Amino acid sequence: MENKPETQNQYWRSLDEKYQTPEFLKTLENEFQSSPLKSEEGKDGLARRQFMKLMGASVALSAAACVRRPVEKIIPYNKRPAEIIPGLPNYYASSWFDGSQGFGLLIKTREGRPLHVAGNTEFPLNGKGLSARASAHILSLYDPDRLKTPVYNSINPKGRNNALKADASWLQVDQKIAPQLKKGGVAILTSSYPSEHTQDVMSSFLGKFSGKKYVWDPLTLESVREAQKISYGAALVPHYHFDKSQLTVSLDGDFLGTYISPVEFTRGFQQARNPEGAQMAKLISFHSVPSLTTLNADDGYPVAASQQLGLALALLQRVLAGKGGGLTSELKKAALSDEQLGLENGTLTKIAKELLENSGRSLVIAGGLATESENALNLQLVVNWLNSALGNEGKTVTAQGSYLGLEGNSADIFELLKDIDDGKIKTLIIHNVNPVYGLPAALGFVEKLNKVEMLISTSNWFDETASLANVVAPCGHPMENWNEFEFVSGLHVIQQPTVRPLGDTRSFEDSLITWAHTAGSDITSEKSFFDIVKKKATAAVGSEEAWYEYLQKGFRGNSDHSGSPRSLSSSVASQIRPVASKATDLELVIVPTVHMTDGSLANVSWLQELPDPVTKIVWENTLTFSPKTAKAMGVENGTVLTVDVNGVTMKVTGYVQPGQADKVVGLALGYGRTAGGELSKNVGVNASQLVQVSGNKLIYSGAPITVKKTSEFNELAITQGHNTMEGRQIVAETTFKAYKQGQNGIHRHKIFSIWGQHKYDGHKWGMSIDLNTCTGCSACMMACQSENNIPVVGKKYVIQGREMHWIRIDRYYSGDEARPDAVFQPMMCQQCENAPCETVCPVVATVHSDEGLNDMVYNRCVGTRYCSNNCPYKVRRFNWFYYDGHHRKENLHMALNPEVTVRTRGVMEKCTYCVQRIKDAKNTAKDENRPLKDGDIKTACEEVCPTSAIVFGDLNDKESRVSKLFVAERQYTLLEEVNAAPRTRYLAKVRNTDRTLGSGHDTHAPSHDSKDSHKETHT
Amino acid sequence: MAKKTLSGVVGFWSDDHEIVAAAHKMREAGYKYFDAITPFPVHGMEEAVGIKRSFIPYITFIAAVTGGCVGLLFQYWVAVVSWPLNIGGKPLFSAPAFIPVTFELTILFAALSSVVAMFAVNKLPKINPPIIDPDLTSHKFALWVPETEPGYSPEKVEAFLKQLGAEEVRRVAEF
Amino acid sequence: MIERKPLILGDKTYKEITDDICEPVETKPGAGWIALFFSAKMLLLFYLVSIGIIVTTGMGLLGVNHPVGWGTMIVTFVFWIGIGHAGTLISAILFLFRQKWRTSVARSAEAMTVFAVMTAGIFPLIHTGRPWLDFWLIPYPNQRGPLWVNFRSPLLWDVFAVSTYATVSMVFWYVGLVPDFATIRDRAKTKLRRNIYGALSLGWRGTGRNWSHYEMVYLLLAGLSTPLVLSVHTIVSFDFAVSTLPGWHTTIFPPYFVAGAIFSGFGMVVTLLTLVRIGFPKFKDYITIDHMEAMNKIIMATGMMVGYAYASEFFIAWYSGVTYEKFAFVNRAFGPYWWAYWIMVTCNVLIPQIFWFKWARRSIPIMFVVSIFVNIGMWFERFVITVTSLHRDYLPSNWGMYAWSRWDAAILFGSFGMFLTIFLLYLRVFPAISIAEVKPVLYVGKKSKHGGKHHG
Repeated sequence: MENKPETQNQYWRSLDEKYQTPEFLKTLENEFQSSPLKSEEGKDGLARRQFMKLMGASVALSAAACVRRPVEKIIPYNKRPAEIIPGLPNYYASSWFDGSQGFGLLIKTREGRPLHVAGNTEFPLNGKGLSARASAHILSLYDPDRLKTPVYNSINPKGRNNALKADASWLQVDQKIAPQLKKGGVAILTSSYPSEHTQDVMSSFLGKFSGKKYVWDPLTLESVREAQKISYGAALVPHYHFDKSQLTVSLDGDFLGTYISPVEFTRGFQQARNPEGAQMAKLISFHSVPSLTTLNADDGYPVAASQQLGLALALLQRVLAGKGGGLTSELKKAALSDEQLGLENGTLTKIAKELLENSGRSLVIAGGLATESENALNLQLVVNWLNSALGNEGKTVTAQGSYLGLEGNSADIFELLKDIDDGKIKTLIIHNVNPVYGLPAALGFVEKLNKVEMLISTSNWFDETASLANVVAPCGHPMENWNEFEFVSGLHVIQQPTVRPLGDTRSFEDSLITWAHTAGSDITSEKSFFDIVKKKATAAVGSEEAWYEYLQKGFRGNSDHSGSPRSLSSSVASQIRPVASKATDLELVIVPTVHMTDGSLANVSWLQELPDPVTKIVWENTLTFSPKTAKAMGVENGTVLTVDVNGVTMKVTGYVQPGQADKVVGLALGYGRTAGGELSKNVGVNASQLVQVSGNKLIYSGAPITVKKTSEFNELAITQGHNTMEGRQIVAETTFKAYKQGQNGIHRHKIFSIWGQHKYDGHKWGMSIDLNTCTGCSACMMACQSENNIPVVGKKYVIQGREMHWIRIDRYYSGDEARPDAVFQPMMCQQCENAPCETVCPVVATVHSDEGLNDMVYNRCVGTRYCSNNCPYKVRRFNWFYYDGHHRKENLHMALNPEVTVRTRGVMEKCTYCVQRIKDAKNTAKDENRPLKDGDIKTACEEVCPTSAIVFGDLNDKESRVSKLFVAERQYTLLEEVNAAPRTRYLAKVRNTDRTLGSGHDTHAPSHDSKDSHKETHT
Repeated sequence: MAKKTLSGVVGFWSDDHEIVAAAHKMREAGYKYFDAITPFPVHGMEEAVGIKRSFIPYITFIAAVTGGCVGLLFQYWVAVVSWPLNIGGKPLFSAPAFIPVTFELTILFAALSSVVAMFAVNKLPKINPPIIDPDLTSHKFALWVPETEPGYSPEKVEAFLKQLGAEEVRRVAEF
Repeated sequence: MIERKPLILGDKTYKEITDDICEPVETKPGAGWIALFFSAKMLLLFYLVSIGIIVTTGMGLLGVNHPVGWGTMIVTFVFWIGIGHAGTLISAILFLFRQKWRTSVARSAEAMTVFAVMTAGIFPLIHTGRPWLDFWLIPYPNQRGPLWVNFRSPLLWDVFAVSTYATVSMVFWYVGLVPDFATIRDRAKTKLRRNIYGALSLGWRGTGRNWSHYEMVYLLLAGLSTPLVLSVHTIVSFDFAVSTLPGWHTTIFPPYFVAGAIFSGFGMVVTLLTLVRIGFPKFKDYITIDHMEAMNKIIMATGMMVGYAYASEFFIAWYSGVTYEKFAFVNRAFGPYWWAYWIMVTCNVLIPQIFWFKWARRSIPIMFVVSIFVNIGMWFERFVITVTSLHRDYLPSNWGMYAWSRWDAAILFGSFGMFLTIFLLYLRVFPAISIAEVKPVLYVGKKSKHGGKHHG
């Protein structure tokens, strides 16, 4: 009986206890009562049963209350490792590679477990900024569904599709694989991976077993590389310099959201958009399906995916004309006119003119899945041509500092399939990709796998591919492994493990090394991959000390962008061979979303519940329609539709997306997982099944699709119910021109109060949020979730309005729904000085601190929810059920931040300005006995914001950034007339457009007296 | 009084107006400690029997004032002296906000103390007191002359009550 | 003076009055009562179980969410508190105005008050996130060193107002009952009855001195209850009026709520008394059509008052020129919850207009139906105020809908189970008409020996 609780001294009250009968053990279990809400809280049937159980439990408790609990051995910290001081965090410089973009990270650990991720401030690419995914990927480390041991699949001969899973030891696995390798014919299918060490290990491994490497990415950049090759001779992914571009024209290039290196691009893009300067960069977006980039555009034009090339050519034609050149006749034919594109006359000419005016300081960019149509290559060639013609090449687009290792190519997939057919491949190792999920069934990949003798997957989850593999050798989480990356040429960054592997996992590289060794043909003299990394890096930096400095700094070298422009090959014109797109009345565009992208982190609940920045939908991907098309087809939000693309059919829910091109439907990638995690299973539909195959290319954009309505309705979980500002001044907005004439678009109010203000000597915390630089990327939401232990509630409860985010990003549209302007507004507790919530709390559970913080006292809260009702900003969140630690699955509780209370059922919670960080910074300053400096305290949201839109500081320190921003011209108080006197203020949005703005709200130039009241609000 | 109960004589009437008249006569005849027993408050009985106006209103007033002061002072003490907090930017002594509770306590004190006073003077509650006749709480009316009456002699009283028109006269051992 | 109608029909003696009123208390209940009582009791049990599940599982079971933080529980709380007001009004205010007709209905009306307040009192307790900590709303001395409550919060005012109201109206009611208990005690056949009612009657003797103090205290309580009853619903309305929320932040709320409360209260009184008249035919002589008519007049009057309030809210919203206010009220009438608003207007303003006609005022079936509509309408008034104001406020980004669940329904209907159970018990255990109070008005409006002598 191993489940017998060992008790120190064997007193016994009853024979039952003495002999540990099962009945008795049951009563023991009863001692640890679970809550009435296990997984399915609120499900009425279950709740009723739980209630009865509780009643029964109380009886059981009274019976077994005084039974001795089993002894749990705890280890005292008296033999603690030298570098760890209990209660104090350690920070490690590390990095993370996410498909195409790399991050330099600073990982916070407490008592040896990673808790929170921040950007490595000095790191040139992302700097302090992070993406939502980068903040959230820490949760995948603690994912309860992650494999804890290698898995040996006994496949039944009829095929791999019904695999029987059995845990195995590494020894078994290695000894099973080694002989197989000896047979040769080894292939590795992997994703792009910009680590020379990993590549070296792979190639030498393949060398030993006459193997071959195939590289494929779900979010492919192949046409960019190919076009670069044709245009300039070298296949590479060039570096784009948005900070140097005054005018950016994007053709479905979602560089702020999902394209190549969004965080870095966002930083650069916003650097050039300072409205206080003489000039402000402008973004023009042509898009089929709205993306984050679209919503940040000054001028946006919906254009069908099938028209991208025609549009690009039309632009090129006008640009060349401006420089006295022209297009070949048949390219001219392919060029589209304003009418054909549904633009008002002269639009293109105007844009071309502006481009020419900004020659050398403009940038035309296209790319991403939305451009992966039949014409993908042609489009890229035209774009290159445009940039060269505009003299942007070498200035805003450079080969120097190009992104390395992004060599994914669908051609490889077809080659792999062919090689399998030819029986060249006996063993297939699949690393870091999930082809069974990511490739359309039409390719017959699954069937082909049967021809492979042994399939090895290194996936950390028993996902779609892994479940078909004979052996799954989990490679562990990036936070558990060593590596070194070179994201852009010349810039090396280390990936340090921050925790011992939670499960019995082994890095991919170490697996290869071990397998080669077991197979009797060593590929390295080193003991482990770490030694390889360390040896090479040390050699590079020169000395052991330098190595440790390197580890501290996190990166070495820098990317050098200097160099002369490349000249465009003369053959480009002839290489552009427009493919006439099939005539269709509805075309499908498959797009990645900011939070899901390829679906690799689909099992991270934080991301699933992160509202899509564009649609604000959670736990679902939808088929998006333009308002016009939706009306024509009678589609509404939630209408269930059956779609048919070349015979592939599936059911998907419709959603009306303002600003989308007519006759285009969009569908997000990364959903509809069928394996690899309980949480992500069957959330949304798998768009990659609709990917089209043409020749040896995968087509994501422009495929004809037929859509049929069904009678079903699927309620969508949308976190923002209403998309317009109803003419209220919520986001103050003005145009750059108007702003330069002194119109800040803010209507200020005279404030009168019968009470005097409380004095705040000492600190007086305040926050400023710049709505002009906020792109809505939602990184702050994830950082906040990770920092403040914010629970996830699931689709059902989001529909009921129970989401728990402390900071939310409000997204408003204004103007014509076919071509709306969008604004983003981060919204969290405004820390009002006259906080309405405090006045109405009967038990003083929320009060003001002497530093002006609106404190929330969880353990005093009885949960009347009056504070939430009385909050004009509705930023308070209530714990409707038990969301706290005890009710989280194994491991997940390890992601909880010990510095922040975990709230129990029935209490109110809200943004605290990260009060724990304020305390922390104060203590540090005290220890170093120095006054607190501006910038010592960074709130979680501020810390990861790529554009520093959020600034936190002390308003009593007149020199602090926030004090300065509080007197800035664009500064305004949200709902000033309520006189809650918020400590959070916003800076008005400035749109660089010639249009007069759509009906956002009625903007007034500040009259004289309103200026007074404006001053008065600072006292 | 030393004795908990008294003996005495009672005369019964079945009409409320006649008994009022009788009570008047009895008082004119110099009876002091006699009292009426009726199923409901009979109009004009007080002056007939010679009962002074109840003093309870003074108690009510004092209690009301006390309640009000207690309420307001307590709130002041809590908000300003014992636990001064910045709540919603309001001043520590947010007078307007303290009115409702003050008012409610005024009423509460006043109401409860009046009732308590009434119980006290009426010597309620009593554990089953002697009852002269069950109908006295339904439809009969009575005049009661206790032994404490100066110059009390049962015979004399009986005769007098009869003469006043009592339908029935009875000697009572204890009431 | 104008000749008035007799308040008590039939040529009765004091004895007969006593017999009539004591009959329900002294006889075995009929099949009808038993059937009603058991169905009410089942509903009560269902109610208790529902509350149990909600308390152990979480408020999330109900439709309350973000942004609608208050829902069915608060709505129904205000509904029941409102019901309570009519009782105090009849027993106190009409007493001060020397309205003799009140005597027959006062007892039941007060009983209704007490029970309604009890029913209402449950909701603020269970609507909190952690009901087991509700006692934290009471400023009790503790060793957590200074730890008090926030006297600025309307919810705390509620605690004091509602508890004071409950206490005082219960005392008032009981004081009224004491002499009648004495009556029943003296009529008691069995020793047990004698002891129980003897204890309840506190040994009342009914001497002249007793009566004199007694009447004085009764007058005082009436005088105190009058401002109290007005203050209670004023303070309840402060829960809304003191907030910043458009649609709540309104100065008209106190009078508007009080009028509404009296309105709904009389609605409930009529509902109950029509049933009492059917249940105990003898009572028809005491609770006469004239009584019912008088109450119907009040229903119509107060109905028009709330109608006025509805109208003026809109006017002020428009007149104030505040975007948010304007929107809040337009949204009430024409937003997603338009139906609730129009149910409210129909039931509270339009339907009672039928009482302009005497025949309608005096028709038991009609007044019964109307009173039911009034109850429905008044529940919806509170729903409209609470939910439709919350669901769309300042920032359109957090607009949402109330997520009504079956638990909301369970709580709403269950509360009626509690109320009816207690009321039905009361009808059988307590004298449903004040014996001592109706006797003095026996001859009012009668050609009799003392006819008209005693018109106060």
